[in-house]
Amino acid sequence: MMIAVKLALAYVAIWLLGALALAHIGARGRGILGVVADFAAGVVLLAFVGSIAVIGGIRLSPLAIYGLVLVLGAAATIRRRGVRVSLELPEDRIARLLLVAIVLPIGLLALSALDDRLWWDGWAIWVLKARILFNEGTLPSEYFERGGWLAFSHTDYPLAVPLLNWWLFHHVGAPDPAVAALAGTIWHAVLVFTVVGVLRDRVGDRVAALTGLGIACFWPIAFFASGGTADVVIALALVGALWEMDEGLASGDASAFWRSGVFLALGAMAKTEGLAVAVAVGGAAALLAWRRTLRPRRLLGCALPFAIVAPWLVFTKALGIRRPYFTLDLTAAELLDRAVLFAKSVGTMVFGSASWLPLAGIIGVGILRDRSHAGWLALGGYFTAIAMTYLLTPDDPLWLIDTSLRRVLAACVPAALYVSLGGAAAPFSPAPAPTAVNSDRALDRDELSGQGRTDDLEGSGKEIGVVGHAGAT
Amino acid sequence: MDRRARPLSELWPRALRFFAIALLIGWCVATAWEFGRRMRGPAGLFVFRTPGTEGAVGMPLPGAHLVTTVRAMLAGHDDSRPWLLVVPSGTDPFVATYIRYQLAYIAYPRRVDVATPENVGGLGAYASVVALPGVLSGDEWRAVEGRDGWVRYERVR
Repeated sequence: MMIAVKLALAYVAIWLLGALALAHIGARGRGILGVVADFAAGVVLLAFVGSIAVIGGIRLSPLAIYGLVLVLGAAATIRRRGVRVSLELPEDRIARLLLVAIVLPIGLLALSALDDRLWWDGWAIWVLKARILFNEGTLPSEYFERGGWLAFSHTDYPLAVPLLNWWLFHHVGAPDPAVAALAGTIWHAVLVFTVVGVLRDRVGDRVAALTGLGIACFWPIAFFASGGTADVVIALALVGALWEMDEGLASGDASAFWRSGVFLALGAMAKTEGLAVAVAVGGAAALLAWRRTLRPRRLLGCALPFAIVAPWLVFTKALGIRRPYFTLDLTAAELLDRAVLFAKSVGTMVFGSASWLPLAGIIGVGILRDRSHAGWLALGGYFTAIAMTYLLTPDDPLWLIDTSLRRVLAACVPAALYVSLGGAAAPFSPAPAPTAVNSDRALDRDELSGQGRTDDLEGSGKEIGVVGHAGAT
Repeated sequence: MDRRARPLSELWPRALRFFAIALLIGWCVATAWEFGRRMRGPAGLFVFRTPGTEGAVGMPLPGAHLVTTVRAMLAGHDDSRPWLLVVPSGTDPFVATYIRYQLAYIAYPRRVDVATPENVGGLGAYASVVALPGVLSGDEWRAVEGRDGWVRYERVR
């Protein structure tokens, strides 16, 4: 019981850290998605501060993180920046029932996590580092030396996941693998309720809750998450960033792009794939914003992941421990063989399993509807990046496919469902011409006219309002 | 429902909406069924560990028996000097890596190296060497503990 209280305290502190940081820059979101963005920002800050400490050879201390929370809290009090939370439960009974049903698989996974169910990546990549951090307060030189006795798998990976585990280990008082497994399930639960949140805002409570239930039970996410792998963090980063990007593109609201940047930074600080997500979503946002003549400074938030991860990239590059992910030393025949192997593997996975096949149908319908260019552009870009890693890997492609393809593709599923059901369900309406009645609003309308994000005028006396939602016409 | 949310019925054509929702329900049923099936498996609700692999971290893999054996040997030795585990020649590199990582995790901050007889270097730094019987010879080391066919040697003082 005490351990549960300590874990709760650890999570609340990280949430508060992020909420205060976002409150200071005026970028806090609303509802459950706002809470998730707060938490993501907290983990990003923890990862950034922790990485800088590791780079500088400074011992990390939980007290320093609590000190940071206190400083941000004091500054927020002075600046009168609150961190209130308002959650709205669905009124629909079926939706409520489905939300209750979601708790069952999550609860079972949490129960099983207490038995230490970490997979290879879970303990060999993430928990080993967290254990060293727990004991040493930093990553010692033996970790970064080639062939060093502490040089474990993926030494160049950024530190968001090990640092969160380190934080949790300190709260429970021991580097317990079961805590890391439980942390994976908590990431999974956060992902599920994020999916519910983003779809609820687009297509209503029932479809949102039903999709959330599917994600809660979808084993390639659920089991690998409780196995301690970081793919669930990529899944969360992708769907959160896409939703906030849609919000930003729809409303021109810079704070939405900042929150999108926070999610992208979370992905970039979790795994190398996160950088590909940042490039894909940031690129799509920039392209669409340019076509819609949004001011570039509103997209500043999309640069956040690159700024946050840059010190770690420079550091690992300088140490020469970055592992190669691509090779161009391939003949055309080899490349073709690899392309066939990749396509066959994806095809076998999708069409050979009952838990993947219906997804292909939903995504297919979504692509046919094609209403969310930004979403498909970003997802397409990320999928291309994934495919390239399998086609151009310096390792044995079959081994790489066997060990990772299922969970890497599974991490795209929540975002693909969001874009198919929600993003794709948001029709754009032609923009009415600006009127002289409200010239200051007309400026914003001009910015948004390329995408038609304006309210219909229901009467001549009504004020023109800018609608911050892709589903409004 | 959120004030800005719009039901799928307002946004999708009727036939497409039914098709999409039917697919979504079908997907939920399929995932729930598969979730239940896997929860009953060895990596499910109760993680199944074969006897002798309980000492491994996470889901046991080939090599977990040896990890459990060395873990038992490590218990109760507070000496911070490193140990060496000599695995048989021809051990799969993946298994050797698994054992090295596992023991590094378990023994940390004590160092545990893993080597094959061919690539064992100097033994001067090690407090204990764990190997199969007969691997270590000479007057400098004596067998002090045996477990599951493995022997722990200590330097003769």
